[in-house]
Amino acid sequence: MNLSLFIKKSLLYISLFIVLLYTIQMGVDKGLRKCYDKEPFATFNTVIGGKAGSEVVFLGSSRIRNHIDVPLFEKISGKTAFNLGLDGSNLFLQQTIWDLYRKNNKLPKILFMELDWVRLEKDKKIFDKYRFLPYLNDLEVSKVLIEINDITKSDLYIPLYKYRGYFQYMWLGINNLLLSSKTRINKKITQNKGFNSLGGHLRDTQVNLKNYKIEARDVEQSLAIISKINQQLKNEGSSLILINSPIFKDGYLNIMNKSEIENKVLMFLKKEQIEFQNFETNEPISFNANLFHDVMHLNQLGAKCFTTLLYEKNSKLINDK
Amino acid sequence: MLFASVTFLIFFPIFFILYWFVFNKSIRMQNMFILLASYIFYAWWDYRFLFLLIFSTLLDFYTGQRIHEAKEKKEKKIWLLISVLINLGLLIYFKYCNFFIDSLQTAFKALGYSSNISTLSIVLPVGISFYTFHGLSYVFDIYNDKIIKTKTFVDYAVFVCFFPLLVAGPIERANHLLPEFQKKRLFNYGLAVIGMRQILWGLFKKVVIADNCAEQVDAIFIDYTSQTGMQLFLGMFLFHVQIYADFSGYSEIASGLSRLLGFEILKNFSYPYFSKSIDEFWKKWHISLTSWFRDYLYFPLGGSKLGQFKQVKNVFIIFLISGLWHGANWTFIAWGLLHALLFLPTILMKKSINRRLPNLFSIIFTNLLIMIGWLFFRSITIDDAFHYLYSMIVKLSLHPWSILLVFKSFLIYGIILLFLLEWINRKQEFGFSFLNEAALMNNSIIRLLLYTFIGFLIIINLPNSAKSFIYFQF
Repeated sequence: MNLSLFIKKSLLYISLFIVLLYTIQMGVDKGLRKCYDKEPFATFNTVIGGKAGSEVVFLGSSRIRNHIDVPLFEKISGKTAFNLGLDGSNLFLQQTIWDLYRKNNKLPKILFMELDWVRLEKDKKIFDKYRFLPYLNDLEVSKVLIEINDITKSDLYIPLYKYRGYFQYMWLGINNLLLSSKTRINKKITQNKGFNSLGGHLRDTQVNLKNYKIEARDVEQSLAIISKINQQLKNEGSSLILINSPIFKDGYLNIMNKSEIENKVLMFLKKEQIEFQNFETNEPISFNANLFHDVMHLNQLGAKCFTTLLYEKNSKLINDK
Repeated sequence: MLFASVTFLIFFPIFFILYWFVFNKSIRMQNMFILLASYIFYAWWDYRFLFLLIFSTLLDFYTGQRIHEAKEKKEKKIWLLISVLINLGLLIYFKYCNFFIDSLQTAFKALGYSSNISTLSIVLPVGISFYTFHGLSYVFDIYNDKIIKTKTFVDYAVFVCFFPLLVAGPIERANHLLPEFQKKRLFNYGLAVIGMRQILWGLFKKVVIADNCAEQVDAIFIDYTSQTGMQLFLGMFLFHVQIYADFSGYSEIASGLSRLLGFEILKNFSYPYFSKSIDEFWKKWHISLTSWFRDYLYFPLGGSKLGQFKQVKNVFIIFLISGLWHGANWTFIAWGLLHALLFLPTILMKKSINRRLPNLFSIIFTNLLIMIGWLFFRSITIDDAFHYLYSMIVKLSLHPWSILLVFKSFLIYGIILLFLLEWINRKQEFGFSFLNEAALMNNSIIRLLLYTFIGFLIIINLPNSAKSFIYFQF
């Protein structure tokens, strides 16, 4: 009798506790999904909210996000544009944001996609995992994160467990849920273009990629993603252009199997008939330390130079579309 | 399997239901079920060491039988010796082999000889120090006629392998826990409720306090040379909190789980950081180990009965062995030695050094001494400990801003909450005991809100990967 009462009371309390946790989680998720002024949630929310649809879209890692000055690009090209660059992302995560974009926005006329040797690797850990937490209910997001193995089933099914250690984002979510007004949100949506400019100047002139070897299996999977995206665009009459943006001249060190990877990629591009524009050692950008935030990233001025350069090189295609 | 893990969250409720509803027909069935569950619990880490655990259990069970049945004292002694030698032999092999080899190499090198002895790649089986001491307490108690042998292997094995205590204690006594396994168990509602509160309180200590302290402590200790004096002090203080919250948290959970299954186990902590002297601290810290050493080593060595010199010698032996028990490193020996030295005034003057200080100052002074001891315990080498201490003293500046910075961290409020609740309950069993006493807590809504708040703190503080308890490594 005592035991039954104990179990009944415990179950009742645990059920109420779980309901409460789920309610808080839903509130936090909703609040963060309404967040349009704080990255990294702002870009995701603009994309998922269907407000990112543009004629020209840029997809890649931080070397797209920080390098393509979208307002400038829109000004000089007269086309609408959006930057889908995601800090620290490999092609597997880039595919995720691309899928979310496609699902919620109209397809662009041109997609400039990053092709960087280092990004062909499948990371074992997700950079800044918290960025994805409010979107774990979206299959596109959870599938790839579980595949990378940095999100577990417990994150999906135990309420609030996914936010463990991220108290500040829980607070941000609740705050946003309670305080954001609709007009404020709409204003912010129109301002967001995904671009983030970096300040400062180059200090360290080398990046440590010593003895870095890219796995062939990862390369093949990454190329399959590019192929899939290319096919999707082709079917709709849009174009895909792969770009590798500038790196400071002394920055690129010792990817042990770089030539092997390069050959494999070039053969693939030839077969798929995809255009690749390599600005990796572009003159004069790569030789000007004043244009860099660090060896891998351009600063605000560098981003302006590169955006202009990219437009000039592709102006005919852009204007024709 | 860790208590603060999803696996255990699934494992325990299933076990609990089966234990009370399916296997409750007889004591024997319940014991067999606990044993099976304990083996699964242990094998979750590394199933290979399960065989070592079973071997150790069989050894003590068999030698216990032989000691009990032996007619002659001499024969009893031989069987006791066999048990002690094999048990300690295994412990020495797994835990201390590389330490002895390393120390020999260093000694040879210091004498100008080169040695070709190389260390072995040995993995330390989790909880070996705990279950070895469990087993030894059984053979000692039979030898001293404090208990009679258990009739069945299962009854004995379940005492050694009882999963709440298996990997980090408390180190139970055969004469205390064994009889509990031979009695019919009745579910006690009141005890179970207290058990649940204890589990919640233990999880709070471990997940919210200890694991968060650990992150900061690790960051400070790994790069202590570049830290400011205030940061070094903070690192030392946070480790002081971490080791207490971690180990006493484990003990609270173990006690709570045992109560849910109808067992009362030994108390392991009694608010040790509120002690006014080192000797009081040792009456309240890791009580089960201290009393184990007292009963099976200190008293047989003569204790305090053979004069002051022998008493000092015995105290030093106990503390050195206690240090070594914690780990195979000179830092643990230094920690033991330091505590033996701090204990000296109590023996020589029959009073502790800070007895004349007002209570609050006595507590602060005692805690400072304990913290310095933990510094040796946490450092990689003795040199590191001294260097850390030296840097902390030399660089320490009590600039108000640097002190205020500490309060920017949420952790500090958690620590304040922990010690505040423990201070309020210092006369009770554990930090959540006021729920039984305070009139306000008779309101079930308020109680539920409090549970919910603590539960919420636990969930949002769970680490990305479950973190072991510090004492698992011992």
